[in-house]
Amino acid sequence: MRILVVEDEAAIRDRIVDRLRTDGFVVDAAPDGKEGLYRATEFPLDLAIVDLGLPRLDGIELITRLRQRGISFPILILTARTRWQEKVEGLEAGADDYLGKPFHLEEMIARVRALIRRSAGLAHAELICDPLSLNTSTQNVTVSGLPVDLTAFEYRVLQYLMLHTGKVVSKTELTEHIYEEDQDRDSNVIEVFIGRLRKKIDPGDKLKPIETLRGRGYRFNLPRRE
Amino acid sequence: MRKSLHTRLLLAASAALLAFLGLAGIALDKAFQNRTEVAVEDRLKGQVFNLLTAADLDRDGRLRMLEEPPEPRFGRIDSGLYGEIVNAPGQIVWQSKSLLDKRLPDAVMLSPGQVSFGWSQMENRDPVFLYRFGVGWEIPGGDISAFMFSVAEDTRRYNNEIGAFRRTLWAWLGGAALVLLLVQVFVLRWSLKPLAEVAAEIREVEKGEREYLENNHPREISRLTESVNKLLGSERDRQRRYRNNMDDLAHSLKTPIAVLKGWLDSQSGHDGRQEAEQQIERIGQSVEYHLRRTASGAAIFSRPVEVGPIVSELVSALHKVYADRNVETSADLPANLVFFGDNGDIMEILGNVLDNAFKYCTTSVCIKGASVGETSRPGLRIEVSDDGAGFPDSVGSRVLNRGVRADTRTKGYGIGLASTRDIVGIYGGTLDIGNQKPHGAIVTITLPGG
Repeated sequence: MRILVVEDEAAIRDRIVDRLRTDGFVVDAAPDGKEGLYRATEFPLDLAIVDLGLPRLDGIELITRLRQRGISFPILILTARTRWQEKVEGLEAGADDYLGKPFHLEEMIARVRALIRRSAGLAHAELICDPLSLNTSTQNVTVSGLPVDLTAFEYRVLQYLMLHTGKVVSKTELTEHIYEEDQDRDSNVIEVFIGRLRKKIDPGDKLKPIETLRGRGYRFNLPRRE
Repeated sequence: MRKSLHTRLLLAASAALLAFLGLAGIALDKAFQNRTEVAVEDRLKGQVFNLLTAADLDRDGRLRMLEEPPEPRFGRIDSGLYGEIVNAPGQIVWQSKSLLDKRLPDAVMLSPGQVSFGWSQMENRDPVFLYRFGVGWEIPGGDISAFMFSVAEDTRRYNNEIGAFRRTLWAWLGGAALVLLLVQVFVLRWSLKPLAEVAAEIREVEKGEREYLENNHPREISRLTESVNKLLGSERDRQRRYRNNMDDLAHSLKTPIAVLKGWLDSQSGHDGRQEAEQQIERIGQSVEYHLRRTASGAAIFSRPVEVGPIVSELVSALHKVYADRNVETSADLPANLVFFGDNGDIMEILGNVLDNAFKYCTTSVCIKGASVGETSRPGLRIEVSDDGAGFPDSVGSRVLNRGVRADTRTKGYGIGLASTRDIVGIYGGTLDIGNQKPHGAIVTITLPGG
């Protein structure tokens, strides 16, 4: 999952970024509204955390412009101005939730996960594609109830595929959602991750959860339980 | 209630007008009365001269009326005009036939050339004007014999003239008074019209139909309206500056607290972290509480804020925030429900209460509202109820105390309802919490009119 953090206060931005990365998210960061707008329109994101009091381009204006361009990923507002007038203004501009400063990073992570789940149409933190189960909160993955040990990249690939079950996900799309902008991107590595995932979650090669569509990408074929 | 300026001026001017017209009437009446009496005196004097002309000495040297007086009323009984001539011993020399068997009132003999005029009462008759004139008549032998010529006229003619004059006078004065009163009413209305216009404009400002008073009033009150406009402007500026300052303060206080909090979150296992976290939490709570309760308060002539659209905005926003809860909402608010105060304050009050309802309801939230009072700036009462577990009995009104929240399982500051109560209190209103049957919480906000 790739998240954009737009926050002008470097100390807060760094903490948020660190915490999100620790929790397995791919994170882009922008110190002002203009750069935030650029990153939000140029890169495939799953969520944005936007501070309202931004230099160069106000947070409300940033959100309004993103929605005007048809960008629909969830947006979480961060604001020190916790009066309802500002909250409503932000939500009406197109944000999906708000978090008043100061906040606990745990609460922010919980809101982020809830928004991502909601945007994927999920009611719970657990993605279940029998016999596979992935908990987005604890990041535990089990197959038939038995835990599976995954690396951070493998987890990101699996979560992305499970959130898009039945859909064709190209290598490029997958790369953009699991890599940060400044990381080396080798699409061949995706094939390596997919290979390792198949061995870990389907050691007997009976389920065949990840289908390779030559020249087009991958498709997760186990139906997700709603 | 004290009388209006219009009534005061009308009463005072009417009293002055009536007093003036009354005194003028009395003065005119008196003058006419005097003039009429002078006319009577002249008339009687003429009659005396007529008698003098008609009288003369006979061959015996006695004064006789040699011919009938030219005035025929002297010869008609009870005609109202009487004549009499007496000599020095007081013997009647001549009497008009109109006197019949009566006499004019006795009087002291006047010396020749002496005149007297005045009222006198005749026996069994009405009062009369009596004119007497002393005459010295030379008799044969060269002596002078004294006579007194008296002519009396009853008051009928005099009274008729005075009565006719009075009827005409008071009819005209009454008419003039009526016309002047009407003119006065018109003049007063016209003169006080600018004040009435200012009063109407102030009512419009009170109702929020205009922001300022007009600047085209007469110079006598333009200073006042200019001052009121300055006051209104400075009050609005003050509110705007206050709100901006609060926003800046919120930003400048909360950002470093957020930085500290983030830093502490990353210091796992560090000595004293827990204590530092608690202190930071306390500072954060205090800042949040004091910033939230800083309502603008009822400003002078606050414009009415429609409550319905604000509730709609908040409900729409909260549906977004609590999208995964699928909360059903129902709102029963009159179309004309307004709040006389700051837009941000009513949004803060309703936002905090509705947020709690959405957070703790099971499936539904109900909002009811009504106007309170019949004044031009009525108050309002709003009830927000939900079908959740309600406020725990152990919490009761403590939930309104800062930092205490009903549901300790949910992270937060627990200051929403407490700060809401403070804002409501600034407007002189009340916030009551309770539980409804069979289940659910109900929060009632009552705000007085402006």
